[in-house]
Amino acid sequence: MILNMKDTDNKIKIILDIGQMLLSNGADVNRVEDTTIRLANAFEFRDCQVHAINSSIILTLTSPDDEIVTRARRITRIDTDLDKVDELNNLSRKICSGMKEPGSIENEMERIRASAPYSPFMMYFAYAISASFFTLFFGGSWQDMLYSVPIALMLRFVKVELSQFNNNKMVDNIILSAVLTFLALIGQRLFPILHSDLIIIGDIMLLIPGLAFCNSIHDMVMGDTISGVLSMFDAVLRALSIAIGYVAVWAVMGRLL
Amino acid sequence: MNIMRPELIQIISAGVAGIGFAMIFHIRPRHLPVAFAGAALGWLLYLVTKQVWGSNAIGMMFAALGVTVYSEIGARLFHMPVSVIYTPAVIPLIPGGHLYYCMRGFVTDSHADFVKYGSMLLEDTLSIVLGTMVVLTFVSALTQRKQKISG
Repeated sequence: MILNMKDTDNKIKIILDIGQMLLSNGADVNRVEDTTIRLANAFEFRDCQVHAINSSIILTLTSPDDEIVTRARRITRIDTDLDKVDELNNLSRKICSGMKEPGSIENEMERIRASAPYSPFMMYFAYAISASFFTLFFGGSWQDMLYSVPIALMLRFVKVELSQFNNNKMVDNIILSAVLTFLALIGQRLFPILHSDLIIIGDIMLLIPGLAFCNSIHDMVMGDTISGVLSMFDAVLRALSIAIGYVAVWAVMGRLL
Repeated sequence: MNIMRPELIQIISAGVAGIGFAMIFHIRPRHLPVAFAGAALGWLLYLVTKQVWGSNAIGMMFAALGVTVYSEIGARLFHMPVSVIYTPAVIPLIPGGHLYYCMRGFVTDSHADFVKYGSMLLEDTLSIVLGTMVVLTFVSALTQRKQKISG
């Protein structure tokens, strides 16, 4: 009987771990709830009730030996990693079609947790091509495109450093947008041929909370209004913090230059 | 250089920037061509519908609509989550330029710019929301019905 209890606990832990990992890597709420219910059914729980929003999951279910269990998880930070979402999705499909030993599932989850399709160097490269091609996209010259690259690399560097001790995305965005504006204005001062406007626009695309915004539309249409409103408000706050950083630097430097 | 018209440059650079964003979101290398195609397709649709209808808002709406259809179909064809295809594809449509010019109007005390670009920002955003919603509503209606039949 005790062994059985342990088994139930383990399974609930796996279900919640997968749900938590999905949410914190940027999956939409609808998918998290759907996956959680499928997993619970696969583990032969009954009456599975789950409520997920961007910041928490609450799960109540009835175990095979008629015990009602409720567990909750809090999600503090969302870092988009759609590859992990894809992999977790495949894992839950495997569990539903028969892979049920907790040991092998945990191994698989450990592998997914450690997996990274791109090295840190490639992430710098990704920032560089996104920013430079957006500068070109918005009408920048090749000189603008070139100058937007070091700014993008700097943004990535600052972002990585900030994530060591800061957990607040608004503060992140204020600092990043201030750094970006500062470097672009300096650039225009040094090389008058550059268009600081277009460089800022190209690099600002890296900060704009496009994903939060898209997820919020998705959530609202799918009936998860609370989550939709939360992410929409999050997106608006982050756009405002970009504006704060920009305005702060401009207020000082706009007069000096 | 007649071939490199500004529109063509925009479409290609939107695609490449889409690849960059796909990498930032940790989408694996073998899915990157899908990201390129999606981002380029979105901007192509925007340019074409804007030309045909003569309206920026309609252009944005159709582009968002097309990208959403593309990602829903792609997700089912390649067994990938919808957001893996949708996110990089919709990024070029996001009005970063208008956001910037609106902020610049604000700091340079240019009320006209602030209002002009602020309203364009709102218009673009609403168009993307509408275009996406139209498709998603149908998708959710269809998939829920399918579940009822099979269950």
